[in-house]
Amino acid sequence: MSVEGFKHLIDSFFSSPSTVFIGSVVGFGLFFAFVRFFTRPLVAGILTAITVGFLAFAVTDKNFFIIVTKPDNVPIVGMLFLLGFFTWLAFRKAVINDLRTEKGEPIIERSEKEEKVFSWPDLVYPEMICMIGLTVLLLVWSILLKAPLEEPANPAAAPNPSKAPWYFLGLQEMLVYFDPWIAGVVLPGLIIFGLMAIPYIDNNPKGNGYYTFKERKFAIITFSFGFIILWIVLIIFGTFLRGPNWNFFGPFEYWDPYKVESLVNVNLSEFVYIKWLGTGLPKFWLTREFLGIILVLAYFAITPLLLAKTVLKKMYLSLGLFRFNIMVFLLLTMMTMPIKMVLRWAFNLKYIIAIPEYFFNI
Amino acid sequence: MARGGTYLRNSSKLNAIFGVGAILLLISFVLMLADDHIREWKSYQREFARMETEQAQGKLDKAKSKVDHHKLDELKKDIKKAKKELKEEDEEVGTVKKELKALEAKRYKANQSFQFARSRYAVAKYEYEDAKAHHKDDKAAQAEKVVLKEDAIIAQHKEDVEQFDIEIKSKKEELQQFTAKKETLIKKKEALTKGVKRLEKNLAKVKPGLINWLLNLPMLDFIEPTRKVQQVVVEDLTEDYHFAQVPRVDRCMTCHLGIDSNKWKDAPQPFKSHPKLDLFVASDSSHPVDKFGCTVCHNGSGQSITFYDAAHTPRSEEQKKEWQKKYNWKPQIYVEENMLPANLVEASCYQCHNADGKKVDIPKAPNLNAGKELFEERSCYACHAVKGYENFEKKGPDLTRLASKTSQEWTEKWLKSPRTFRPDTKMPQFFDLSNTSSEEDKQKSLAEIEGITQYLYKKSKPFKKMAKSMPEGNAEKGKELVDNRGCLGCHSVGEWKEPEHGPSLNGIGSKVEPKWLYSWVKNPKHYWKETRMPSLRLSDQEAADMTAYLMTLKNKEFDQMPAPKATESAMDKMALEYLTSQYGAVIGLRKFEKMSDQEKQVYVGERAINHYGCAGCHAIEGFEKAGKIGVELNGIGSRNIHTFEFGNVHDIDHTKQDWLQAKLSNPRVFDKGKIKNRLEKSKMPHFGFTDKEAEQLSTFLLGLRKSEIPADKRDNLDAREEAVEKGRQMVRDLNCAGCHQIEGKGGEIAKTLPEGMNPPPLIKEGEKVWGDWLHSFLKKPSTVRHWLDVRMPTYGFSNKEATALVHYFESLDKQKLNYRGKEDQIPKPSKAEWQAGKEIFETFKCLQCHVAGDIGNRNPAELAPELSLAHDRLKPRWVIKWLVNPDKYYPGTRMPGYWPDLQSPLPDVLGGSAKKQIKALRGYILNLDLYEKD
Repeated sequence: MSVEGFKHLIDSFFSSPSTVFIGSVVGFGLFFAFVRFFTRPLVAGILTAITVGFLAFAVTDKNFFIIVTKPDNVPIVGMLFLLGFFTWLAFRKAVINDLRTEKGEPIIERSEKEEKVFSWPDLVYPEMICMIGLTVLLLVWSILLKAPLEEPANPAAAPNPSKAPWYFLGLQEMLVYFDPWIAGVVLPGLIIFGLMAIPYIDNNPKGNGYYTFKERKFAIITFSFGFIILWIVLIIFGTFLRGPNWNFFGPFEYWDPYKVESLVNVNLSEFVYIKWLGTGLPKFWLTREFLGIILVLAYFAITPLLLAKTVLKKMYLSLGLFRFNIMVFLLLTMMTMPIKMVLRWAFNLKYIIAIPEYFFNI
Repeated sequence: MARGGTYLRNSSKLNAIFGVGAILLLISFVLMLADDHIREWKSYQREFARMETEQAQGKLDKAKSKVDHHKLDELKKDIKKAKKELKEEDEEVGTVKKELKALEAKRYKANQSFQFARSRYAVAKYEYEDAKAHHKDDKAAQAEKVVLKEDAIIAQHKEDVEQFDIEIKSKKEELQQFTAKKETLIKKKEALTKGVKRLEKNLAKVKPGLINWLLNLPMLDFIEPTRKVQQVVVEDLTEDYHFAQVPRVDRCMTCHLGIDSNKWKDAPQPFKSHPKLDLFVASDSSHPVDKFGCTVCHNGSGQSITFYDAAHTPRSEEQKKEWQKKYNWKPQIYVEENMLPANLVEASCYQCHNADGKKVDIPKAPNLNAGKELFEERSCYACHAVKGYENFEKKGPDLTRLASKTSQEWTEKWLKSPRTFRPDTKMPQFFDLSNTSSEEDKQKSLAEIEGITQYLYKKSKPFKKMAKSMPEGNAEKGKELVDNRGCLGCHSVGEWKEPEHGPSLNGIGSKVEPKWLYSWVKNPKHYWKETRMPSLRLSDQEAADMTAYLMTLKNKEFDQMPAPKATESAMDKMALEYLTSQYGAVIGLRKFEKMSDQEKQVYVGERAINHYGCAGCHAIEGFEKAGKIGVELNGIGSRNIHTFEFGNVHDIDHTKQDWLQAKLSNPRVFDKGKIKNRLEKSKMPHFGFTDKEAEQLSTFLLGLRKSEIPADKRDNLDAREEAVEKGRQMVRDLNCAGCHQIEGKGGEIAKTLPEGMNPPPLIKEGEKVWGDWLHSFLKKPSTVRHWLDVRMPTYGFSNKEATALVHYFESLDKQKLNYRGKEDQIPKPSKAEWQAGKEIFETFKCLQCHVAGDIGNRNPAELAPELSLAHDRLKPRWVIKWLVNPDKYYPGTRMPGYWPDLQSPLPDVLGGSAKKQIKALRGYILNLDLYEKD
């Protein structure tokens, strides 16, 4: 296959957020299904080699090079590798511990606990060396890449694409699927609230002070989903794949500001009254949005009930009604994002509840 | 290491890593310093210092070589000798010096006591006054005593000081006697080498030395470096940062170091002097750099100090290539206004000098003026709104009575290709352009052409030609008339290609009806009230002759061109397309089905006239209230580059000037590769601008900016200047300069006429003729120069227009408007004076050339202006100036100057006084008949 053909293949594979997102979720699932396989150093090494190799190949492309070497984006590229490494490290340690426990051996942390070392030179000296190394890195970085300053802000000519700081790109991506009041206020608020609530919800004493996966599967998978899929992957979207007009571009595609994407989205009420019933939209909002409201209420009211009775029965018993409900509410809220994304891609669904009369759309 | 082996980590390995890390840190620290220290502009300043040193050294060497070394050596010898002599008198000098020193010490002491006493006195005085004011009499009395005492002491000391001063002075004089010789010699030597000394000082100032080197070292350069960023801050010409207007800071002179001095005219960039120091930058120019800065004219990022960041723009393709090689140049995308390339920089003049569009020409901006004139000449304002052009007239001919003028066939052919008929026509090409060149589009164009013609002829109103009794014309005579009467001032014909004002007369015979033409040349305003074409007051026979001649001027190529014929299907398509855009598809179709073929044609014509904005230039029945169809152009020069759509045109830079150049060269270029239906396509017609013209027009358009220039920095017109500008606009619109030389320009018609037969150049016209005479002359021209064949035409001026022109000429020569002061009264000579004048008049044989009322049977070619008009026409003061030195007013005039250098050739008249004679002659000329009957 020619280089161009390969690039075209990649571009067409990356050509929609749904592919990338669903691909990431599948990868995420595979990783947890075969966590012991994936954390083997050889496998991790091969994956790293593939990634680095791809990157080395990709930077020879003009468009990819422009995006990756933007002074703004360089740290994000670095961050991806760091994230990969530390995720691997944590799971590697967890897997080893799990294996040892299975065999009845003590976990690593226990054996380490008994060793004692000198603060000098064993601690302070390496710290100083790290300090020097980091200083060198920062100096060289600042020499090589200039601060990305642009022209004075002009309200009449916003830059295209207009991007949030990289750490908020996940939030900006949410704006594609939700109204600003949800994507910009409610969800970020709940993220902070939820993170604060974790210690009070989590009553699993295991995994305290040591790495383990087996003993905290639910907590680790849930958190990793929220962090890696709903935060990091969306940052990758926003940084590398969202171009002018917030259109989606493959990594080797030219960011053409005139690229046209068809955006025809429909509300749930239009599905009901126009597509299925063919009667036209009722004027009164409550009648019109009846189904959406019921669905949303059911999602938040009935799902916890079902979960408590079925898959999460054990957890319900251990957490108790109050904590369980909070936990499930947070979990469900988190899942609204992927649900909404899938609905959008599958049915061009715009809003489940659309009440523009009161600026209330979900 | 003492407890070696018990550590977790291997110490020597850590040491090695630490060592490497420390070295890397050192290297990166040095790199950081270097990165901070090494700046592009510093290298320029270093280079400039070298050039300055070189120049100063050169000057110094030159000055040194000029010094008379022989004389200098002699002086040095003499000084040595004088010093020796002085030494011989050493003892005596020593005593005097000692005495002088002692005296100075005494004086110092006395002066000190004087100062102390004075301050004590001041305190006592204050205490006395204070006590008095508060009625503390005891205290006041006490203080008064002190005051008196100190007063006496002061007086004493003062006397002492003065005494010492006298003694010191005499001692110094004594000393002087010894040293006088040496000092004069030293002074002589200094005088000899003064220039050299000054230049040496200059050199020392610019020559980089050890101290300079130290001051410019990294980390030390915060103290007082010699290499530093240079800048001007212009408070009132602000930069628009969208949320704030901030003072303009321009640092261009950080690298353009020789910009303000004419010493660097031939230096390479960036050191070169500004090419127009008389106008810009220099402190004595009209735009000094500290008041205007640089970027207010040049644009670009004034605060930046690298070549790239400053947003330089190359002036040409070659320069662009050179820069790409040298600086890796590309347009700066983070600067709103990249620098204007040097060939377009005149655009900036317009933001201050436009006077709200009232100014006709901006001085010393030829490109801008040419662009502005093109904008007016090609009627850009007909479609595009621009401030100052709201009330400009429609320049294209009136089409409301077209049927009487030409045939439908001609009209269709003309619409299809105006330039085939008249290569230099101002009418642009509307059809068959780059975005309408497909076969289908060509068919649709034919439909529109036919439609427009049908519309125009259907709506054409009847016209009563002034041709009831049109005599038989003689083409030969007609040609003579066209050549001589003045037609060629505005119209080109045959080989005569100079005038661009009126349409070329070539091929006119293929266009118009003879009777219409006869009526038109007799009185153009009869057919078209607003036309600028004046009447030459032709007799019936003359008009007929002219018509006969003009009808022989045919355009064969055009005549042979087949008449365009639209197919029925194209007409249907076009009609349906217009109907759909106007009414929507359903109603459109319903209306379409009800239309007859004729109705379709007329409908398509009406819509096409509307679509292409024909009514912007032409008066068309039914389009009296049509608006402008183009984009407003106000502020286009400062519009953000993102508002310019480049479409699929990838071979030009994304800059405004490149966009404009491309658009003006081919207005449809940005439709390239786009799928659009016919009515969506860009519809700006093709004007056939040359690259140069497109550049000039771009200059003007880039000058249309939204900028916040304070009133005191703008070119504001006073009443006089406004009158001048108004007149200039009329002179341009009416093409006065086609025949007359005005303000030193024009009068090209002279080239077609025999020598001496050209219309008079209008030099100092305002100073020369009376306003009221000029007013009546403009309204109803009378013969001043009998010998001319060419005629001043009748323009049919209103009083207002004639007055505006009179005011123009008077304002131009700084005359007082509508005012005759005492000095302007027509002098009434005494009888004796008058007779003296008459005598001079007769002696000089003035009537040999001049005419006074009756031509008789003299050869008009040898005549000079009519003198019987002088009383009403000429201003007395001008007559004096004229008589003294005619050649100064009209270089090459046949009028001789009889009083060169105010010396009279007639010693017997009026005592031989030239002044008196001139006055007497003037008195006679302006009052020819005053004492005639006596």
